[in-house]
Amino acid sequence: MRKIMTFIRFEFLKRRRVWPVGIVALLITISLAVGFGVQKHNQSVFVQDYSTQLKKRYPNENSLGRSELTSFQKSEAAYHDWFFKSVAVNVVLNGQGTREIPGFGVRLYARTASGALSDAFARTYDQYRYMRQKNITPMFPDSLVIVPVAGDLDKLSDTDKQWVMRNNPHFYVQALPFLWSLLQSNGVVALLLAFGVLLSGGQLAKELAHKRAHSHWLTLQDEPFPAQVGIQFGMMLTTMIQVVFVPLLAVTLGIGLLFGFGDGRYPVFSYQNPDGFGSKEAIMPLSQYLTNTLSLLFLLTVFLTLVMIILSMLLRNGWLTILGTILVVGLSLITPPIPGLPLTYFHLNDIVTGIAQEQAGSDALQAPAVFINLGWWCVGLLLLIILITEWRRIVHRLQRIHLASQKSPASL
Amino acid sequence: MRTLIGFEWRRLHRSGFAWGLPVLAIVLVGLFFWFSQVGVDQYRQELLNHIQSNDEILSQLIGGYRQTIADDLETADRKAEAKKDMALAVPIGDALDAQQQAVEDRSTPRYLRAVIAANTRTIAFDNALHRVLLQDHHTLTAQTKLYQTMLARGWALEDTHYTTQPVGFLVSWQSWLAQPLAVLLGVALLSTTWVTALFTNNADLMATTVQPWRRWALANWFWAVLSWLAFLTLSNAAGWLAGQWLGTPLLSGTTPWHAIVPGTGQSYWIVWVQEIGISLLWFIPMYGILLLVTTYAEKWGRQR
Repeated sequence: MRKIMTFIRFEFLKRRRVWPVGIVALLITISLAVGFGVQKHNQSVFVQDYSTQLKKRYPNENSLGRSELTSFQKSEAAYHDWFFKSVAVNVVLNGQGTREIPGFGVRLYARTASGALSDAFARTYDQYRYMRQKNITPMFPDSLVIVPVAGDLDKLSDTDKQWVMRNNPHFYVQALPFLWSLLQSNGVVALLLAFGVLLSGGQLAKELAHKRAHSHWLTLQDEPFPAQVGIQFGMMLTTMIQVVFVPLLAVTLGIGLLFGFGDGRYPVFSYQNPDGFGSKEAIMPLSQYLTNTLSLLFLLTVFLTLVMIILSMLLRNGWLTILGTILVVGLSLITPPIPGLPLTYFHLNDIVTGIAQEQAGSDALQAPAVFINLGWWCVGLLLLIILITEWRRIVHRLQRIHLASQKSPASL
Repeated sequence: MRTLIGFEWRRLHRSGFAWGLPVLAIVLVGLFFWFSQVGVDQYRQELLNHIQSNDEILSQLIGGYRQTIADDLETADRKAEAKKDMALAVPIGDALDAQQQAVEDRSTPRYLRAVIAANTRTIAFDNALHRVLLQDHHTLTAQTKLYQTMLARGWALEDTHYTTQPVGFLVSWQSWLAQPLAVLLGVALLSTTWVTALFTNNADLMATTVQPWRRWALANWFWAVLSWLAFLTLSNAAGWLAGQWLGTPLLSGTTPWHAIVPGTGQSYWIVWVQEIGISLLWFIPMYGILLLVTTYAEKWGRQR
């Protein structure tokens, strides 16, 4: 055990000389924090622009619809209330509004095309009812919950689609919602993983590169090859976690302490099939979404680390190992939902919310099935690593026997 | 210079890139082709879902009219109006049924005709009743015009992202290879022999030779650009063959090179050539920048 600890200490020392992982993690954290600052700025710009727009639209005290401006200027709580009641007019009151709450607004794109956004209205109403029941404060300014994959925008022209999306933004200005916004983006997840691969991909490959004595030297120091691979796996996984998870958690903690953590029960759109008969729209609490997404991200990190080990053993070139693994991450960005294929699982949001399952029409893309399947992929890759390791050992032994048999007649 | 070009070729050849690159081209095209096959199937299902969702709206509407007509409490005027509106709505439902049948039978001309019919009747219905039933009129008119052209010229209907028809597949594949991130990955891959030589003892060896560094970099640049060109050629050739042998249309028919790519107003041929040009235009300077940066990094490291 002491020996193993010495080797691990040695590996950490070596890694520190090659990559300042802590500094890289800090830079990523700063970049994410800047992203949060941009969100806050965009929110205040939107609020200001929208206020001007409302004032232009409703110059007279008596104009119908002015209640939106009044509530917007009054307080966030007043606007939440106005928004919920306006949505309710469209969903449950069949458009029968009052003078105070006529059921439309500048951004509430109701009844322009018959039923054009009816699903989005119904979904928003359900989410607001859920939030009212649980005393959850909605995001400000309130917007319709539009899900393009659910066909919400199908009935609109391209110009109208852009207009609706531009005018219904969501600003994630608290810690947990901001983490949610980061994990929703496949690009951000791929970029974080790519940074992790860049820092850890060459680690084992360099040891095994042709004409490098390092691996042999470690063997001579009584560290067997399987132990070397095991330690390197641990090192690479630690590096990946430091680059992927530490910045995510650090930025969440920082924002949480400064601006609040937000509510873990916040509703997240998802498809679920609790009774097993076809999926339907449902609400998933934010805490459950984040737990599932981060767990899947961790499993994917283990998967990528195993891929890096295999590529290292096969290619024995640090640079090519890094590029090969980044290629895997890059390919995941253009992969359609394919049941059983791990590249699909990199679309964290689509998997956890059930969108991928809905798109492919396959239960194999349900989150629990994906966890099990990815687990099996990891086990398969681990077995492959053991196989390659054993193969190397056998080849090495045979070479030694062959050399010994060649030497023995000469010595006679 | 010729000596260095020969030297760089030998390095490239000995490193295994000469055969590794074709293998990579084939593997990547194979993967992309598989993704496209899955994408085509999913798009076909999406078409059916879209038709069914429109059909549901129509069924509810027609059901409402039928109820009004059959209701004894309704006035004669309301019943007459419902009959008139139903007469306008029923043909839309028929056209939607024809669309569904055409998708199930995999017939592009029948599908295009059915969509044109549904769009024309929907616009007529909307104009008569002053409402928007299924979709915005600008979208319906633009789609009708495009489909009329496709029908007249015998072009196949395909998704712009995922298609396994040779022409569409090549344009789609080439568009990916023109993305800056894909080119950056290509630059990183093809610079392997350069990077590994620069940051190992080989750089010391090169420094002791009489050949100036610039020529060495130029020779490497020359082979990198040629390799990228070879990768583009090989992958496109592999894609063409895959499309010819295994490609299946979304419904039926083929897409010729001179057909218009939806949303661009340009032919597949022009878009394909443009994408190849863009890919090369990204690659050439990007690789040059990499050569400069790595060289200065190596010099800086040496001075430290």
